[in-house]
Amino acid sequence: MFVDLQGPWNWFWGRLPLLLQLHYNNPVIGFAFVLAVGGGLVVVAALTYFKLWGWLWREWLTTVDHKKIGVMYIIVGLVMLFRGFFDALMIRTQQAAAVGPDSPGILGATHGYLTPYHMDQVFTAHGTIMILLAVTPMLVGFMNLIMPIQIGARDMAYPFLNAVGLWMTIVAVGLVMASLFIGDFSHAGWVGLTPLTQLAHSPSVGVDYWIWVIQISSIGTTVGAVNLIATILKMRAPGMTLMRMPIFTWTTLGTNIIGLTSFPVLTIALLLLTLDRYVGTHFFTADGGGNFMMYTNLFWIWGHPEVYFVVLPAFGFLSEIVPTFSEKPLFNHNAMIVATMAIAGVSWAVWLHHFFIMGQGPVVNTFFSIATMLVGIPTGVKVFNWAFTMIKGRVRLETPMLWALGSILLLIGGGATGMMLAIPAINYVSHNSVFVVAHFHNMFLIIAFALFGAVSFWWPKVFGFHLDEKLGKIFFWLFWSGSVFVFVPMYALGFLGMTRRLDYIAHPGWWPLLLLEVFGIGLYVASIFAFLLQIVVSIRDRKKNAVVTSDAWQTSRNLEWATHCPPPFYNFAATPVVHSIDEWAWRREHGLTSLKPDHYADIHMPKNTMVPIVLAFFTGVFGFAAVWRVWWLAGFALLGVIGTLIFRMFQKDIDYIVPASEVERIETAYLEKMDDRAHASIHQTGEHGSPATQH
Amino acid sequence: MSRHDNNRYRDRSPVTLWAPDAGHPDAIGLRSIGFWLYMMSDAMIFAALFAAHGVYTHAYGTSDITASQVIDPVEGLLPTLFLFTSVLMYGLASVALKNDDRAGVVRWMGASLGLGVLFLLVEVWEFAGLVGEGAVPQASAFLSDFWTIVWVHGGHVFVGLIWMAAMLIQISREGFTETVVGRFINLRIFWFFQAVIWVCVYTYVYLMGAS
Amino acid sequence: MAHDEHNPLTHPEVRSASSAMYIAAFVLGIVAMGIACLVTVGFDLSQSDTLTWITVLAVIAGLGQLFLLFKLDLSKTMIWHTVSLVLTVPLFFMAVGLTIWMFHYLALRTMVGG
Ligand code: HEM
Ligand SMILES: [Cu+2]
Repeated sequence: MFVDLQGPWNWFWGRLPLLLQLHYNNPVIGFAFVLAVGGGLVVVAALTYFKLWGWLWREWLTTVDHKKIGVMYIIVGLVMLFRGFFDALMIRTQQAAAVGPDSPGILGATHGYLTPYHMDQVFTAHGTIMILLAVTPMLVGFMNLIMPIQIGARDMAYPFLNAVGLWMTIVAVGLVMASLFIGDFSHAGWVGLTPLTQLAHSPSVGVDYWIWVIQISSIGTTVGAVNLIATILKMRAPGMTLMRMPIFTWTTLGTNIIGLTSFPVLTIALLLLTLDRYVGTHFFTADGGGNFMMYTNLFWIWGHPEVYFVVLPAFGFLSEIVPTFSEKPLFNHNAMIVATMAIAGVSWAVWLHHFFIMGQGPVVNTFFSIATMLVGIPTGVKVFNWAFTMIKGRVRLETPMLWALGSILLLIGGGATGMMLAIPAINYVSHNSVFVVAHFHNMFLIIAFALFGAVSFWWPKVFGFHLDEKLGKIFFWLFWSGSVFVFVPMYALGFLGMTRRLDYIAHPGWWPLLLLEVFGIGLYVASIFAFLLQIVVSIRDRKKNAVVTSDAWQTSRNLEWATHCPPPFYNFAATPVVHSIDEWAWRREHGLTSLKPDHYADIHMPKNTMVPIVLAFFTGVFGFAAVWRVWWLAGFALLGVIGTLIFRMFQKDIDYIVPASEVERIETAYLEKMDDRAHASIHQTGEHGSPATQH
Repeated sequence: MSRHDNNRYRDRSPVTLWAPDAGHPDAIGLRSIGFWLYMMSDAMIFAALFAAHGVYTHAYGTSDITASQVIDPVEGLLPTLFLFTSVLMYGLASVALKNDDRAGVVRWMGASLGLGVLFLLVEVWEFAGLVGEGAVPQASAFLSDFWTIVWVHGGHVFVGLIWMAAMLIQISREGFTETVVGRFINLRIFWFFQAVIWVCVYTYVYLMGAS
Repeated sequence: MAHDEHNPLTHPEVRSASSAMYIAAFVLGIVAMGIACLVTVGFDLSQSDTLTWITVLAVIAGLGQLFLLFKLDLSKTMIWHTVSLVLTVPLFFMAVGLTIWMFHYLALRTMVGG
């Protein structure tokens, strides 16, 4: 039933004996190993030394609180952003070092320091990680963290499933990190070029790792999408009509509609590939009637909606940040809603622009070309709305606003190059060049900028103190210049005809531009240090930078600012009633900013549970066993998953009641603390210290 | 200024800022919409499979086994009958639920479970026959596709059956609590959906393949 | 748990169960698929006529099931079920239809694939 494998296999160890044939003598991997294991050991040692294991388990690992889950998503995303960045660093330096026949080579490489097979794994891992395990978790994290509070909900619709989603993501992260040291990773690009991914051409376990990493992280995304959509549909506070919903909530809805409907297509694309690789079917093979363009088609049916999946929440961040720092309502709320949903809709009808050159001819290409360009209309509406929000506003250039402005500027560049690529005639010459790479990095940078904007914007909400402004600005400017120096030369190289995914550059004339890119990546490295320093310094100065009212920026507009910083685990002592778009701004304008509710009631909350971790454990074992084709282990792991689910089905003690008196105690303590701070800050008119009309 | 900000509340004090206790939340409705959303996602699984099927209908490669040789629509009517009857039985179980008739629920659900098992057995028998003719999934892209579509649906039925068995135990042990009823409604969505998908599979794979 | 005092059997999604409609869905499904099978194997129609007929029958059976089994409507209980289905169906047909369309042209122009 299963295919014949090249290399060893036995029923007990599966393909693991392959490991005996690998030579672990590559210093690059050795360094990564030291970094990853060393980092892990430091964390473990610190947790043990400070006796924090119990706290970690109770407060974080078993939590079902959407805010903590959101924070964990963001932390996981940041760690993976760092991992992906390391890959980027290697790609850039390798390409700069391997120019021309005379360029020297070390560590077994003819040119540069990465052998072709290694380099191929590096850029594959880079793409897969950045899109699916860095940006996506960070975005999902913010949706988790902020959206429920924005609509005045106590929690997500399904707190337990929420934890399951997080843990699936963590399993995928674990597998991708394991692939670094145990075996290898796919070398076929993040898109998984067929028929290169077929067993005959990729006999090792790399592609299998790639498959299972994506499949498992997709479970997380799908579960999360169900949860977020249901929360928006069913958990809104009274008065929060659909048309009054904040734009970030709307973009969360749009994004998750895309996610819910497009991820299954990826699941199938990869399932069929899995069948080809494991049981020898003929879906994407060159023989047996297979059609490898079918893979590309299915992949991009998911792939293009996916890029809008990641960009819509970023648009949501911008729509929160820009009005706050323009001290004005967002221009034309309704148009923003329509534009969001229009983008989500159109994103479904454009996927063929990723393979205009396949050969289906002008009729089909024209349809998809026009559909692609249509997306420019709603996107343009958004850009103009942000611009009109700033016009005649009191624009304050604090860090979140800087990130937002950078993001909008990038959108103009990336959108324009997208439009160029959407013209088949241009695409025929630029496809597979680094011009495309520059285009989509430009687009992903919009998201990265918006994400860092979101980090600085909501940090005070989540932690109760501001991030250091000065270091924040340094971080921004370093990151901005890094982006310019890496990607402007990349556009130029694309025009000059440099193709993508090269491990050796035959044309010495491109060297100066490649060196410029290395300079850019150096600025990025500096920006990482600025970011880390910013966080350390801000934590050191947390007393000085503490927020004095729930409305940390004084001009914010939505309900997440109508609860404490950090919000209590039940979000709101009493559910707010919504009277207007931008409810918090409405309350502020009417002098109704007191957070003391007129009554306290019992609150019904879900209990912590370790079931998601157990599920994650079995899923992780399943993934590993499937990669290495240890079938008995995969079978047991699957039984473990089913058993755990049935166990959960029969579990009864899953929720509890917080009595009204306890809520009142927590609230009173918090309000008193805030009062003290407000009094203290009247004397020292600090940056964020202007007295609020709080009580 | 936003349209809703018409100061309607300014003169009428006090404004209601905090909602009084929300009363009993609709836990069943909340679960059912979530599960329904998941079914939408699941439907797209089949969309992808049908998209592929549209291209693989005649992709025989070097194999000389054609679609009309392996697909017998009349034979396919038997599993159709079993599945639709199983769905009907689940429907009757939910009528019994409405009437608070625990024995009835268990009885009808048991029947539904049994018919589901029969559906799978017929499928297994049919595909065992294919193996005998050499029409294995490895023979051609068309056969890979045929096997995969039918068995992705079959896998759904299998999961549904496990769920139904667990559900039967839970109902006889715990009765109709809100959690159990919510889960019963979700399984109903899942099970009915298998019939709708089967209409597509039967028409699009069996009938079109044979025509 | 406090909320179990509430009788779950009064929920509208429980109340909506109806033997008549389930039986109707069953009969409709069986009859439609039976006729479709007959059309395919019993009559000597051209391929496109057969396709039209079985597609019409499948649509009838599928829609019938959706409405008779799931009771989709615009009531407060079911509105979001209906809306999400209405939003998903076009995506379903787009994915299938556009794929077949592009591969049809691809096959014509390149002679690649079936
Ligand atoms: C919304 C944010 C966007 C993101 C995240 C994004 C991302 C991407 C990615 C990842 C690729 C190439 C993938 C690969 O081959 O590895 C790509 C290619 C492409 N993008 Fe975008 N894109 C975005 C917006 C747009 C827009 C607005 C347009 C046009 C209006 C566009 C048009 C294209 C085209 C035509 C290609 C194909 C180029 C080729 O491979 O020849 N994109 N984009
Ligand atoms: Cu695209």
